[in-house]
Amino acid sequence: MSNETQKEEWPWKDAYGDYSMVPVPQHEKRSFSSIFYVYMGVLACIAVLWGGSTLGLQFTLKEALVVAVVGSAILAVIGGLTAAMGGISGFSTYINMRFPFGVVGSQVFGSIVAGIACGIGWFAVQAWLFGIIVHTLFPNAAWANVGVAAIWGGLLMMVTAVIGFRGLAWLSYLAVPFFMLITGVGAMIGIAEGGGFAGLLSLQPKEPASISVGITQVVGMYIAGGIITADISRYAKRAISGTLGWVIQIIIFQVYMLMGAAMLMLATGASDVAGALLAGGAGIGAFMMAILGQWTTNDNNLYNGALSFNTWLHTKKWHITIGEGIIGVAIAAWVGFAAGASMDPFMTFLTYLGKILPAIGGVLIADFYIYRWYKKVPFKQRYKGKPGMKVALCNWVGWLSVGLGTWIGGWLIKGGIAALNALVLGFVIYTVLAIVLDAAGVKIAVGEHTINEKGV
Amino acid sequence: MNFKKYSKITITILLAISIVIFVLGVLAWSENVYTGIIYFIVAAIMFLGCIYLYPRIAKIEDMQEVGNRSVQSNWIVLSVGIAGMALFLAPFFRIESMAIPYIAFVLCAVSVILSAFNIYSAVKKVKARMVV
Repeated sequence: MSNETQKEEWPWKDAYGDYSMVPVPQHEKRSFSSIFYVYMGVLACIAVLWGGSTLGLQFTLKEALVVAVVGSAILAVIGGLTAAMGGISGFSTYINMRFPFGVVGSQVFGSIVAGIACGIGWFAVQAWLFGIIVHTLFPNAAWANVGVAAIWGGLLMMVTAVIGFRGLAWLSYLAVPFFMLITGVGAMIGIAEGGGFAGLLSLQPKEPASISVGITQVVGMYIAGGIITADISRYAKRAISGTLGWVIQIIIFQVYMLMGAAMLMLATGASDVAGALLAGGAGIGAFMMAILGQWTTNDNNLYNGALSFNTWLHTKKWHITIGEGIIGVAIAAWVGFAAGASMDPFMTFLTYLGKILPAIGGVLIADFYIYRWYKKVPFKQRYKGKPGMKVALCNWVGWLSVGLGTWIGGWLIKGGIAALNALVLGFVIYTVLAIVLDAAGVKIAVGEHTINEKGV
Repeated sequence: MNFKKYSKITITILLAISIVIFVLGVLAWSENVYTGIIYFIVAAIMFLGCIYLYPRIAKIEDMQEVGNRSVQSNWIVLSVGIAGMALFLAPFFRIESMAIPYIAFVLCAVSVILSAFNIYSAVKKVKARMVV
């Protein structure tokens, strides 16, 4: 089928750019390698290396490997399931949310967890952290002042997010191989400092912890990314590409990055990765890691945030990206310039917002894989839509499941992995309630909304 | 010159560069094992990224598709070239014979420039996509 024919068959109108409200048309879809690279770009971040460095301070090398593999396997399952939703529907996570939560639910939950938390909050935190890292590496340079670096770093991160998926892909193409290499360099420095591989194997951690604590850290570190995988997989030519790309990057490359950082920290006992790399002799590579690591992750924060805000803020997506970017940069710069300021209270607030996300993921997975199966919707037709389709304004079972899942899994249950508890509870509560109420003839959808050709 | 022939010639040059970096890695190995390893990794990725292109464009007549595939290979060379430039002169990889890292650095710089130009050419001449 030619591109032109495909364009003619596409009944939607992309009024806001980057297919934020409508499914990605076939002629705009990308190969497996593009999807894989963008996922890798999100993964290739300092946060993952920090996660690995924490493992290096808490576990022996063998224990760290077990923790990294088990934690990554859990993330692979969660992200693989949500990635398939985007690959099939072509919609972003926040539009997919219309099905289990209704239109209002997708706007509210999307804006809280992706818009406010990622697009503004975590973007600001990462821009500020970027300023701190640059300042640590170049303490005497005026351009490396925490506030100044947060401004130019934040603006850089904004550029690729404004361009959209193509911008994320370009940057990932450039950054990912570098990040893989610098991780390898970290491991080499670790082996050299640890007296060879055998020496490294015999080293004991500074602050020992239990395996379950480590798995919790690995899962908690990236579960948010695992739930919003559809934002990228919607661009996949084949539905399976998003799932495959996600699983490979998590199982192979996340483990590799975690272990690279763990080896570095276990051997050096340093407190931060960039500093350890610089002290170990990685030279300009440490600086590039700081820039590219924050950039590839933070442009995704903005990108996802703008996608979620677009569900109720009907303007060009890049307007939203610039708006949230400016707010985030202003927050980061303000904190950076205020001597002695800390972002801890702000980060605590964002962490609380993020606690809702796992339960949302659980409900999405339950609705797509179980409830739609129960309703006999063919797999490849799930979450498909066209102009004129009707969706609920509010699906109260979805809301209730998120509320209960978050409250019980995130706060009441003290054992296990909080994020996983919330996700599983959201999944179970929604599945049971939706199916039982449906069988009993109780309506779970309230109100009705007709989707127009712009996807609004 | 048609774009397919242009792609083959430039990718052959990049292939040659990767082989020279590999040889430099062999020379550096005896002085610093880690230097040898990083040269081998960079050379191997570059080599595979380049050699992968020959069979992929061999039977394709549509120049835009040739361009798309050329873009993929050149992105790999470009990114790994930048990584090589950032790492080859790092103190951790320092060796006695200073000529080796500088030659490797220059070769990476050449591969970065050539691959960037190849991507530009593919987009301009045959309307290839930068994101494929």
